[in-house]
Amino acid sequence: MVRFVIGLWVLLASASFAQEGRCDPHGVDLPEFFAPSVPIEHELFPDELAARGTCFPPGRSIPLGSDVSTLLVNAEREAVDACDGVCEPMRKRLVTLGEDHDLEDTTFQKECGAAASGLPAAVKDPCLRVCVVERRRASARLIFLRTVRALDLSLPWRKPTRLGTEVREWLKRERVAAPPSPIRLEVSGPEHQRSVRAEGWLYPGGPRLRLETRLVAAGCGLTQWGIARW
Amino acid sequence: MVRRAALLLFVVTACAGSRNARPLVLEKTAPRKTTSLDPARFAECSTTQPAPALLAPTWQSVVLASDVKTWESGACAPLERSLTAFPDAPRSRQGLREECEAKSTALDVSVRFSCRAVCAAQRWLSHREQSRQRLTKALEWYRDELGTMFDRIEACPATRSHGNQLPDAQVRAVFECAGQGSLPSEVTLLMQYVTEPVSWEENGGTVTSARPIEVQWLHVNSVGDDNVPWQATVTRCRRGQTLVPVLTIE
Repeated sequence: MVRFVIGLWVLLASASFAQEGRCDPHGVDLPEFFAPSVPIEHELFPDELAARGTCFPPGRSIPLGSDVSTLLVNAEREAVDACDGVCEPMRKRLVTLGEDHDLEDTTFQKECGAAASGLPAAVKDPCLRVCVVERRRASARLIFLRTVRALDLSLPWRKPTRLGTEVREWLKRERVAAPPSPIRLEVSGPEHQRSVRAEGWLYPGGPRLRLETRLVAAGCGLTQWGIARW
Repeated sequence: MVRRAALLLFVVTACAGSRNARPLVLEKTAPRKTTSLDPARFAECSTTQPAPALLAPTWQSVVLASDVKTWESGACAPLERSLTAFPDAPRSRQGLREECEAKSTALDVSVRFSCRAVCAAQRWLSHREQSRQRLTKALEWYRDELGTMFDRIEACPATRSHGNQLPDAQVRAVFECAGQGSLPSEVTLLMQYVTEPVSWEENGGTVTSARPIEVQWLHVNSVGDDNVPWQATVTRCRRGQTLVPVLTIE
């Protein structure tokens, strides 16, 4: 009899638990990066493509997690690939785009100019252009993720310290690498519910970026502060 | 003989009449086009405010700093003069680049690559802007004529037969029927109707379906060149109980 009562209680409790868990809020995911869909052939001329050679994408990195820091590390790894053209010695001289790398276009042009300087005169110019275009395309993901990280840190529930109206100044104080200058960062709303909006181009003539922090649907009729496209 | 001929004519006419009768029955039982739309089907005007337009990139930002200097020196002027006027120029980004490449071969090798790069950037961005202006003008016309679009679609031979959505080719046909010329090829268009349920008697049973009663929205999306972030919508929005035609372009 006691066994029967216990068994009945377990059955009822599990049924009630299943009923309570019917609606599971999905939460707010980080926005996904969409790689530039414009083929590199639209950004390089045939002689430049020939100098670049055939390229091999890097081995797929092991997904270690879905937080912004891990995504950034993976993006840095994935930015490196290998090609078999005459520009390869130049590519080997380039520093991998990393955590604190300056992602301004003028910096890419300087880096590429220096890396291409040792090449034969006939291929120097095409290789310089290959370098800049590759740097721009590789940096797009990093710029996107840096922007996501900046917005993520500014979410009201994170209670960021002294987030005034100057996001870049605040990121500097927090020692977090900011997205490059073409990405505009603007703050709006009252102090306890600051919203940050990011807008710009991921590279010159490249895809557009528009992200903001706001209350986003989290499932089951709930809303939660998160990052969304606008 | 005359009686037989008259009888035959009567039978033929009656048969033809009964064959045509089915759509007539449908016409009688189906509700006619509703002139007053349900405002609840449309968004509040405050939520359809267009996002502020992003500044287009400049050609100077797309090329190298050294390319800008070469262009400003005037060394690329012969290339600039040799280019085809836009109405006759190729329409794709790749086509524009090919023209720049072919015509830059006449330049000295010291400036050739810079001039070619500037040419490609300028042509691409100018063409893009021109297409955007052309499209904006056509969509403004569509917005202003929104109240007449249902009848215009019915009157246009290419769109007289349609479903609850009009695909790209049919939307383009509507613009052409109205004398608006061709729309840029870099975009794809889709139009959707507001529908209402309709039922009629057929073969002894009741058939139910949805019937377009008014145009709802027209969407425009860029295709082929994803670096062109075009998105436009013409629809109505709700201001109190009034519906207002609205065009948003991003």
